[in-house]
Amino acid sequence: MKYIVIKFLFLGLLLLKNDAQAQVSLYRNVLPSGDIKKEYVEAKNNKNEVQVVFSGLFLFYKTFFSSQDLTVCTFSPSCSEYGILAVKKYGMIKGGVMTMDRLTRCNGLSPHNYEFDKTTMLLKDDPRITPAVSVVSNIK
Amino acid sequence: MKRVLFLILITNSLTSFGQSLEQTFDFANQLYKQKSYQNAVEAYKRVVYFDSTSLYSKQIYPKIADCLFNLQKYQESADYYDLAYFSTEDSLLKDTHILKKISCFLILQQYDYAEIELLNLDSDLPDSLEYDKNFCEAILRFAKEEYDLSEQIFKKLASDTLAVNALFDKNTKVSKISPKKAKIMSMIMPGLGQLYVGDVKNGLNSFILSAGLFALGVRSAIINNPLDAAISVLPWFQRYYQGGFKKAELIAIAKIQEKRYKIYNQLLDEVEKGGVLR
Amino acid sequence: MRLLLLLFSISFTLSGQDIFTFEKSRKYGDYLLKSGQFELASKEFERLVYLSSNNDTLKTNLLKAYRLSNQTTLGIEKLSVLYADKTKVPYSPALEFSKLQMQNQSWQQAKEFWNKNESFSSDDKVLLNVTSDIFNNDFKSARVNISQISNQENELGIGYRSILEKEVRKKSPGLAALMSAVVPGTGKAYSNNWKDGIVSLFFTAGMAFQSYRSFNKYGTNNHRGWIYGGIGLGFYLGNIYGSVKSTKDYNRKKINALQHEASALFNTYY
Repeated sequence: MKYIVIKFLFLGLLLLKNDAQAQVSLYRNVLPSGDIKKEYVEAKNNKNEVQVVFSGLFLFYKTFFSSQDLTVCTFSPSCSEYGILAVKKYGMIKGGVMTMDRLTRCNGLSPHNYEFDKTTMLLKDDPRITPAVSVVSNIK
Repeated sequence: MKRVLFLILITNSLTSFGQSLEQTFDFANQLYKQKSYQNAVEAYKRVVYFDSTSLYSKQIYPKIADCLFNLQKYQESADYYDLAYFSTEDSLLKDTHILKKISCFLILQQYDYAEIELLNLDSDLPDSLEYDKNFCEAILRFAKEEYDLSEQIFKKLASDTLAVNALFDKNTKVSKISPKKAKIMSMIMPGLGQLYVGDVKNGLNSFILSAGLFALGVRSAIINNPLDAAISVLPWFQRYYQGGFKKAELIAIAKIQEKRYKIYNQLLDEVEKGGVLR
Repeated sequence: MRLLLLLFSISFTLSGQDIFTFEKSRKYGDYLLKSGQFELASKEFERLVYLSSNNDTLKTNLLKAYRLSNQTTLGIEKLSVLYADKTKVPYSPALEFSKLQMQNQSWQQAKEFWNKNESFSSDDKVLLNVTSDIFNNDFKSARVNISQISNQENELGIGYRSILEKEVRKKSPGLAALMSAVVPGTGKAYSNNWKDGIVSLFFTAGMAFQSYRSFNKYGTNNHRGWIYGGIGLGFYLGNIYGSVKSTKDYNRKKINALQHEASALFNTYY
């Protein structure tokens, strides 16, 4: 009996302590952390040698060139990200051709052709997504 | 399987608890105590809907708000604290709800809303609330870059005022980093601004890239002709040169944020050490 | 279990302020559905249907709550629990289930369901078939189906016919590819994207010109000409691909507009 009571008291104490800690930890991220490092998920999960090579090129471009660049691309994902995603999905030839087409489209002259991404303030154009036909989403 | 469990839950809730308004309310309270917040919210909402005489609503709004707070739905939670605030006459309760609302806005990084709510608080609060108020205000002043005010309040919260002093001294030094200066330095020589902020990697990267393109342009102008160089190299040089000094500014801003974030968290450590919190 | 439930419902009627009675739950469920809290509504109606297993309105509302809270697969699975015989589902739950199937884009199952159902009239079946064909971008089949309607004055039928008439003015991706192959950029201009077309022409022509100049100046053994030429070829091929894509996008947008029109008509009719 005594043992059980002590155990409960101990548990209660532990809970209380956790609570107090949880309280301050809630406010840890009230300020922006200033972390501007980016992680490139596009270059991960390579399935063959071609993908490895292109991911390497992509990472090289991103770390040494793009990092020093202005944000010039009008799209999200950006042209280089589009390139690696397209090559991964459609292979080197079709993906390459798609990327060349994308580079010419990256001119910001016809924004009405694309959906607008409010979080990044850029136009949406993802090679993995063929714009689906919107179906009866607005049936009452 | 889920459906079966769900039905069992419903029938259970029917059999063991809540048929009447009061029983449902008790059931919801029990769920709340068991930290089953999502289910508690659903039960509370039901009571509010059938509570035609507003018997329970006053007690329920803050509970729903608490549940949502614990479920990390801070925006919705703030709305319910608002309802709670307007449903009570008790000034002490009103202040408690305001303080919780301020917490929500702080976590959402909506500092201006938090400040407005802070002005709604009574001037003389009991000690328990006074502490919470100080805690929120210290954070808010720090976030709004009113460091002198923040320092005064943090000193009330932490027992080790010397440590707080030292941290705020460190913070004053951070203010000396100037993003504009970094930008101008990088305009004069690519990469210099980044080096000034302490980012060697990006500094060298920017310098090599811009200098390389510059050299390439000059070489092309001499070997071929200036027009060729202007067409093929100049746009690239312009892009990376301009990108370099704009990035220098951004890096400086991020660096300041990073340092402030660190100091801020050390201040919180001091507060945590400094004794009782709520 | 049933007996237990009966006992309960009796105990419910005895206590006046009970908030889990059938009537009150029903009121609450309706409120949840109307105020847009669909997931909560689905739980409420799940309970209500359990309490009163022969009420078609409740079943319709349950399916509706599942559809509006985007739990389409759950809703579709639920039907076999609600009705033992799929062919004898009454009109309004059957219509709701058809909408669920369409939202889930399972066109084949949807067609099978309503064509076998006995509550729909033959014209209803035709109209539903045409609707799903339009939503599924199968206009050929839609034209065949609409001709089978018996009441020529049916307003939805008339609306659908006018939509089907508008569908003919599409552009050909093949022609766009051919145009772009001859003169870069014209394919994009053909699909109303003349700005992108000009940029494409500019890129391809610029690279071709640079390549030509390099070959002239340094000869074919120098790498410069080949690099410019390679990039130019890339732009040329990309432009052909882009023309096809742009034309397809043009057609898709046109069809999408028609689909929205059809969905608006469908909403007002059903």
